Amino acid sequence: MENLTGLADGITAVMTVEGMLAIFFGVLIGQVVGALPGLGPSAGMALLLPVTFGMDAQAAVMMLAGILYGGMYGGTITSVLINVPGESSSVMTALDGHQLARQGRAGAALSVSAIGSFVAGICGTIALAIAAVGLSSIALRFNAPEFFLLALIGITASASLGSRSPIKALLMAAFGLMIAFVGIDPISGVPRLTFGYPQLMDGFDFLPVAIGLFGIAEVLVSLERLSAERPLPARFRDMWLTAREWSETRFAILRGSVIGFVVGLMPGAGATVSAFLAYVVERRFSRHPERFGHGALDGVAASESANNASVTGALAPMLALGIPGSTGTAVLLAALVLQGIRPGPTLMTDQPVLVWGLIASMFVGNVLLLIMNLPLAPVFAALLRIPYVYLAPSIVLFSLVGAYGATNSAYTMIVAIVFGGIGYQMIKADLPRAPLVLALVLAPLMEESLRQALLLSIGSPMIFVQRPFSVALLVVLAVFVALPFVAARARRRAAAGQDGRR
Amino acid sequence: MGSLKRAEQGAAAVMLLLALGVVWFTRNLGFWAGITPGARFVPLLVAGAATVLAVLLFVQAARSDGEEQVDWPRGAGLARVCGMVAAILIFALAGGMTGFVAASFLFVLGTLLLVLRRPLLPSLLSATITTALIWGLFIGWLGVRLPVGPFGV
Repeated sequence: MENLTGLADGITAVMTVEGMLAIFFGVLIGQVVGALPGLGPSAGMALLLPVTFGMDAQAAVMMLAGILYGGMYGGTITSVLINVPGESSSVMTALDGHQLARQGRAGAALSVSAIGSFVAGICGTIALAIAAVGLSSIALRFNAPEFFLLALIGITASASLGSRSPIKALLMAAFGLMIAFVGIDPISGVPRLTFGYPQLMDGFDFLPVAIGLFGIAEVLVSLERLSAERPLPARFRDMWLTAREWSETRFAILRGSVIGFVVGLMPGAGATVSAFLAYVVERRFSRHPERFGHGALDGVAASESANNASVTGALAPMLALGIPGSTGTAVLLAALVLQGIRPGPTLMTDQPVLVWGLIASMFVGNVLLLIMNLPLAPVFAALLRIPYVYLAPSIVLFSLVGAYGATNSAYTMIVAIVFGGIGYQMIKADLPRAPLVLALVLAPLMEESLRQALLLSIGSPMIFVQRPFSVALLVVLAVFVALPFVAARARRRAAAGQDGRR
Repeated sequence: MGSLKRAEQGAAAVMLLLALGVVWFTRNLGFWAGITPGARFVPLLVAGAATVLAVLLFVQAARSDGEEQVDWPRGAGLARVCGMVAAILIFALAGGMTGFVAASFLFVLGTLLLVLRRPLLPSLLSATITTALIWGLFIGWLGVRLPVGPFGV
């Protein structure tokens, strides 16, 4: 009953001029940054974080969330029309979507993506409301040991599920933790790794690190090669599915939505893993698996539905537990913290209007995105004709001014520039950046929880095996740590088996 | 092009140095304070983990065949990246003196004309629109006090 009241209050909060404008600009910006190769919704959110300082917390969160799921819609357009995925989660869409565009079926690919994303977004939002309430009620019984283990799971899962090299991912997470240690120790209040510099007393803020790693670094990489592909045409009259196309794709949309939401719940898995898994599963169920890779409409439907549903899935642990499972949710969590709000189990009871307002805003946002992507897709397609090279200096400038504006200090801008350089080197050396950012966000929770847990147990680590929830989380942690080794061993056996058969 | 193997070993070496740095520069902090972990407790654990992971990465890279190459930029691509980096540094150093609004206009125009070799008219348009957006968003709407130049802009 309380949740229904909360939802009603949330809808009221959305149906204001400020709320509707925040949602509209959020999904519009998300659509545009999703379409821009090399930028992505996470970078777009990081660049706009300084702007949210002047906004109401509710509007800020709705706008940033709009960028997050709007980016999933936007990535489709460049994938289909130019064969360049605007987002990493659109890689599978590019595989078959561009083939469809070459066959003169760009409209079908774009419309099935839009409809699939809409259905997945709506179903995912309903599932989010249920999951967030459920997780939150369980998490109210959590204490310091459980929160430490949750933070550790958030960091290790991003390495084992979302990375090609778990060792590199864990090493970058350790790097993020070491960065987070700079500043004042949260419990004893002593300076730590500040080297006597007053600027380092506050540590490294999330905002300039994220702006540098995802804004400046990606623009530098994109300037190495300036592509000149012209987008294939997408006409308004082609933007409707035939009855046959709808019958081919409707179950793909449903399967993709379920897979996407479930995978999105797992920290670190993210939209890319969801889209790939949904694509692979759909190939098994498809009546025409031979079309996959050559223009399979159901493949496009499955992957696009999955990447959208995964965004709503990832929001559940972020809202209910304060554990971000992806870079995008990490930025959203940072935005809430900057507004003075700490996500966690008490968020739904302390800030019900904020949470339900966010959930309600996602219904509205998905409707707006459906309108933008069905009849208005040719308009966005026309924007692709603006050469990216004219946008690159502007993106860098927004990064620099945004970083400066966050604290009115050149120091923050310098930090963003330094991390821009570090991010560029990380991209070239194939070192994942997401674990670094996740660790930076989770470090305070992890350290404080660990030290509080050991304080409660008077220094005994047995507290982690004496509580049932802790034991369950330890098992989950062990699974995530063992998973990459088991998978590597299975791959080696499969390769040895194939060599034996030859 | 350089080998990815070398890049990974370089990254492992850097991380090892960072971990040793954390251990060294926290040596004056307490590991344990009475019945609770001190300020050095978690950094030391993380530094230990980072050391192990750095060694593992080094060994993993050493065992790889070393065929995969890092795609470092060359020629015009390298010039564009270096030019953009130079422009960023000039903006950071000179923006406070010229004022951010003027510096923004010059940054966009300069990078488009000199680094990215674009035609004059679209570059002027892009610089004007970007500067207007910066002014409108940060100064006009958010009221952020960006540095002003000698002419008060």
